Amino acid sequence: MIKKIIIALLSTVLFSFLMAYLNHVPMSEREPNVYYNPLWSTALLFAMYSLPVYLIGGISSSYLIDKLVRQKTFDSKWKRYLTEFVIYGVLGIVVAFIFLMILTITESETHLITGSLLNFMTLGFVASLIFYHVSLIFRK
Amino acid sequence: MKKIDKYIDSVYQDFDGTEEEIKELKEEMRSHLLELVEEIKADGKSEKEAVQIALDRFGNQTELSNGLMEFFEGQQLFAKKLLRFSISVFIIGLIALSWVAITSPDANKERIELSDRIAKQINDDAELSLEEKDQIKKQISSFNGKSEIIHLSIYYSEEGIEEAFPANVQDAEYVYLGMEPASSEEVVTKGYPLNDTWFVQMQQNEKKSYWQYLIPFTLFIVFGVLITIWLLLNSYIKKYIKEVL
Repeated sequence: MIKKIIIALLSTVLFSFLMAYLNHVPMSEREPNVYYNPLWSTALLFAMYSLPVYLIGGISSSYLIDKLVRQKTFDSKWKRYLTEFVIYGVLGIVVAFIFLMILTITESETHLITGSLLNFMTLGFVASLIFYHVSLIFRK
Repeated sequence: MKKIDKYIDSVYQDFDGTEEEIKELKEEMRSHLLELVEEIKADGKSEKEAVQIALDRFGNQTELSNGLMEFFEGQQLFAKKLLRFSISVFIIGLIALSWVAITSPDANKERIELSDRIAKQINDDAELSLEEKDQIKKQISSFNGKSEIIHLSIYYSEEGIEEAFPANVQDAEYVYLGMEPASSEEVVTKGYPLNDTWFVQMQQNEKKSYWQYLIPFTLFIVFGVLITIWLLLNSYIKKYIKEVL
């Protein structure tokens, strides 16, 4: 359990900095007289939202995957990797959708879900695979 | 020792469980039996006798636990069915989600596409020619968007869209009237630049409900609850089987 929490925390840091880096405007493209957030503050903003999702959705779905997949025997390492890759990806999309639905319902803003569903699902997919690969490092 | 292995295999031949579980349980039973054999041997019996006595004693014990095992087998069957059912709920949820994601209209994308089409008909001069107006009308009526346009107007502004939006309809160079606004839906007004001086302003009905998203959402929540019950049941069964044997 502690291992899973550490994995969730590490993935949050990795994911937030990845997102902050992708949203970062490099010095050469900056316009004058416009304030740009430093990298760490954008990362903090992403971490604020992704940490609870990782802690609740990530840990519980990874526990479930362990229960379902680890019992099965696979012919090769690659088959196991591929199966877990797909299951983690799909569960990531579902967790992102549930998170977006909760945001939409609590804020009663329809445009949240109609406008950004696909973006959110892509982020969920990426975030989940980050979690999976961090946990692979811890497995050995 | 072969006799012991044979006996253990016969006990577990109809056992329902994963390979790993069975291996673990067999190992445990084997170590129990070997311990028993060593104990009996310490009382002065030969190895062959000791194995026979140990198996007899164990046989009586297993008969006792057989009744309990039957009870757990029923529960295991129930757990299996529960797992299958919850995975089907999950898959139906996935199908519902992809259906909703594909069919729900992205109004913003449609508006941008339409304004791109209109932008191609317009040049930089300050007035729209009759021919240009005709072309614009053709573009709008041939546009096959999923959300309906209430009202579309085109404006000329030297300062660009940032200064002039939202604009008054009276200042429009061109106006297109579409559907009546529906009361149950939200009316959205958006502006898009066509080039440096021209811009278009659109009013649309936007559906203000997310009931269709609630279907996959509810299915996923149901899956979460069912799978939690399955996890609890499974760990409970495993724990008690280990205690009984």
